Amino acid sequence: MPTIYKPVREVLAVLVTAWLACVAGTAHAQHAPENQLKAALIFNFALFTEWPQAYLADGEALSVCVAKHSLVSEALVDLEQKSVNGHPLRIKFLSDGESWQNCRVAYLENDAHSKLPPAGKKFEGQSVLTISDRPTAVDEGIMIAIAVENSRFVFDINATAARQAKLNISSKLLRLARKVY
Amino acid sequence: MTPHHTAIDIAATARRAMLVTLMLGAGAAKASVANGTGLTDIPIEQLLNIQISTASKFEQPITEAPSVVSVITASEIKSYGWRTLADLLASIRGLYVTNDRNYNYLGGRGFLRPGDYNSRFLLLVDGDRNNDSLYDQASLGRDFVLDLDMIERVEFAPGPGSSIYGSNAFFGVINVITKRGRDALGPKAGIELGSAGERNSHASYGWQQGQAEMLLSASSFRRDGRDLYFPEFDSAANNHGIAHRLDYEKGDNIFFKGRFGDLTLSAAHVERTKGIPTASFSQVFNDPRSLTGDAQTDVSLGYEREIGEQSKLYAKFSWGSHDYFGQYLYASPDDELNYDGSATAWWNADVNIVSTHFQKHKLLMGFDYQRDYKLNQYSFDFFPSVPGNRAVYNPADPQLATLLNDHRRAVRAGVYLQDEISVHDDVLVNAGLRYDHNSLTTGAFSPRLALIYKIAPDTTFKALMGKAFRSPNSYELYYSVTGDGSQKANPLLKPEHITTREISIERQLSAASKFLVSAYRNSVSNLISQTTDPRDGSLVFENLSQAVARGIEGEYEQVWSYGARLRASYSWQRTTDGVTGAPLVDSPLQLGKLNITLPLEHDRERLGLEAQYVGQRESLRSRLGGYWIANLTVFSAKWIDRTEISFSLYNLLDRRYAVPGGQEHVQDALQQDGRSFRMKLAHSF
Repeated sequence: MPTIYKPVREVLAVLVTAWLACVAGTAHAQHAPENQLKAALIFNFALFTEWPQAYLADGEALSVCVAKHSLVSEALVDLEQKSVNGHPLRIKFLSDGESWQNCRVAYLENDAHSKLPPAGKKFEGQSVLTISDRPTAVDEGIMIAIAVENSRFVFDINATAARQAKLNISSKLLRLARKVY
Repeated sequence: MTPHHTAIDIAATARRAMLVTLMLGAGAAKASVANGTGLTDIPIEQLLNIQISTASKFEQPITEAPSVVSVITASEIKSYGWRTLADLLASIRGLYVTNDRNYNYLGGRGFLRPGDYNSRFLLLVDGDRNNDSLYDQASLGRDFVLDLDMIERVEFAPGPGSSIYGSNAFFGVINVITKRGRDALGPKAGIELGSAGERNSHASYGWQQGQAEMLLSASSFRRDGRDLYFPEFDSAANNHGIAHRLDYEKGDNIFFKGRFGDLTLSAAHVERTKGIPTASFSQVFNDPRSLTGDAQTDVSLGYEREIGEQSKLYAKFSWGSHDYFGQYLYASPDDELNYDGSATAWWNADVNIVSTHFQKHKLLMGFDYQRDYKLNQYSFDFFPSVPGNRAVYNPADPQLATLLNDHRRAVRAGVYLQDEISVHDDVLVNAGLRYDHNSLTTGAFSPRLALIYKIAPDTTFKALMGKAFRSPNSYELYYSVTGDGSQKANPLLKPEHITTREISIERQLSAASKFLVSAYRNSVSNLISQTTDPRDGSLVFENLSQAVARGIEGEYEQVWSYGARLRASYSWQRTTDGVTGAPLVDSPLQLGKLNITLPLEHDRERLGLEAQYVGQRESLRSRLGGYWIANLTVFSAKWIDRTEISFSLYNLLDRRYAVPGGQEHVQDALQQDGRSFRMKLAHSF
């Protein structure tokens, strides 16, 4: 056994006792899983985007679409009670082959087996805010690409694609983006 | 719990990387996150602040880690054309690397002990101890178990890490996090060509389906090396000081990582041979037989599961082996080859639990047990002049002279507890304690206490205090040979200890720039050093030195919206030997680092420029001047479809510079390579 001086031992004993008392005296806390953070980011992206009136009238529900059984599905459900800029959020979970029409936000998850076509073509001519965590997202014409860097979430914005879809992404998001294309 | 894993829990697949729970950047924000929906009430700036796993096993934001952590990503490995882990580490604040053309040696905050094979840094691969069990050596060159392309990121936590990781987490902990199947999908293959006959080929395959994924990679490296001139050996008998084709190196490695649901299996193997051009350890100069070989294998099976809402269990079982073999050539008494080596094998079990069950507390409890069931060292002389004599070790062979044949077993075990307490919205206290038992020597307690205070939303103050230790290794305890240059065992060696005190301030200047200043004092006691016993003239390791290091470091990082990045750091450090009061050997007074990436087109074409300054330092017999070196890499994923090409120039300005030699060298200073290049091509099929 290592030598540990008596006064040190006493101080340690006092500290350990105090710490135990303090741990035992407190209650239960909850935590926030990772996909909920991603969902919160999606929420924020919608919050800082403006749709043309023709696509999203005042007070009209804003549909956020995601493929069924996506990793973020569960977390997105919690957004249902929220609204952004006066638009109540509607979360749609779409099966393969189901139409992505009427989506205002589309989250395309990075899934090797996804049968989704490249996003750029799919939403051509519509004002849909496309978000994805695919590494190829920006090249596919997706507007916001989420990535992980230095173990933080970062995102890149394809401003050209957003402009073509007549979406106005706020300068705040552009400023926070890692890269803007 | 979702059965899937998103990109964010990279580290969760790693053994010790903990907890999927996200802790948010600002203390104020954290209090409001009673449940997931609360996250939407938090400003997006704070959502973008995420965690790290090395410093305290569970993931947390860098600003909340009980250490001033540096993180290097796969993208930087590409941008700067680093070839080895040593190249990568040399770019980190406060670290410096020397190469004696046999191994790489890492120094940190002014400490680089001659003859220490990096045993004072703990090297983890996915949280798994990678230092071997006999020398506690951290292999940082081509002898490192992974191809650099398989690295997702590297985290370096300077300071005492023993309160969680036990022995060897003395000056810092390096955690290498490997890629997963999904990070390198499909088949890929590549080649590299470089100066001095360097060639490297690699191939990998990544696959993912639902909850299962795997990654397989293999690479093979060859380098002929240049002829090197050593003025110390300049005589007609010694080929005029030219070591002909002795700086060669060859290595091969394979790596597998697979995951199915909660289970992760990984396996890695490396073999490397390096010629010794320096005639170290009093060898004959310019003999082609002089070399060292290393082989390491690591296999690990990890399991993780959530217990209830707030706790997570991690369990891991691993097996490893490291064999070292040196072929040394001596002239006396006659043409004599010496074979020196070790064979080691161990298994390790680690179980830990992270829990946020108690409000305002994040607890980590763990137990770690390692059985070193093979700790063998040998040294024997062999006389090739005897006809028919082959170098097969058989102690009974009369043609071999056995100098050492030592077999040991050992048990190392540790139990640890850490609590991160939210004392107030803006104040975290991180307290940890670990006790280690080692059957070969005495045990050790390692406490650590950190106060993390968010003075303002953009400013974090940290005060850290901790104690770490390093147990003497079996080489220091039991290596003994008689005769000329004799060395003897010292089984009474005790662990050496370091006490660290550090304060730091990290300030986010804007969303895209931050600044960090840190001041520290390290004091080392019972430092294990090799000395000559005056009674019999033989070398022996003793707990005889003390040393103190003081220093200040500053680092600035900025990211521009068009993709450019800058990381610059400066370190000033003073070390003194506690006995003589003199500065320590191989302890530069100043270090400077500059890393710049410029995108040429999006992220698909980049320019990476790095510059490093190493200030003046003492060598064993004199003093070496400081030097600047710069490396430049151009990277493009655009020129050829599905192909990444990079071209690097190392020591761009062809500076002549030298690093201190060790006790085993005649050379007091070892000249390093001039300008060299490498071209790399990687294709995805």
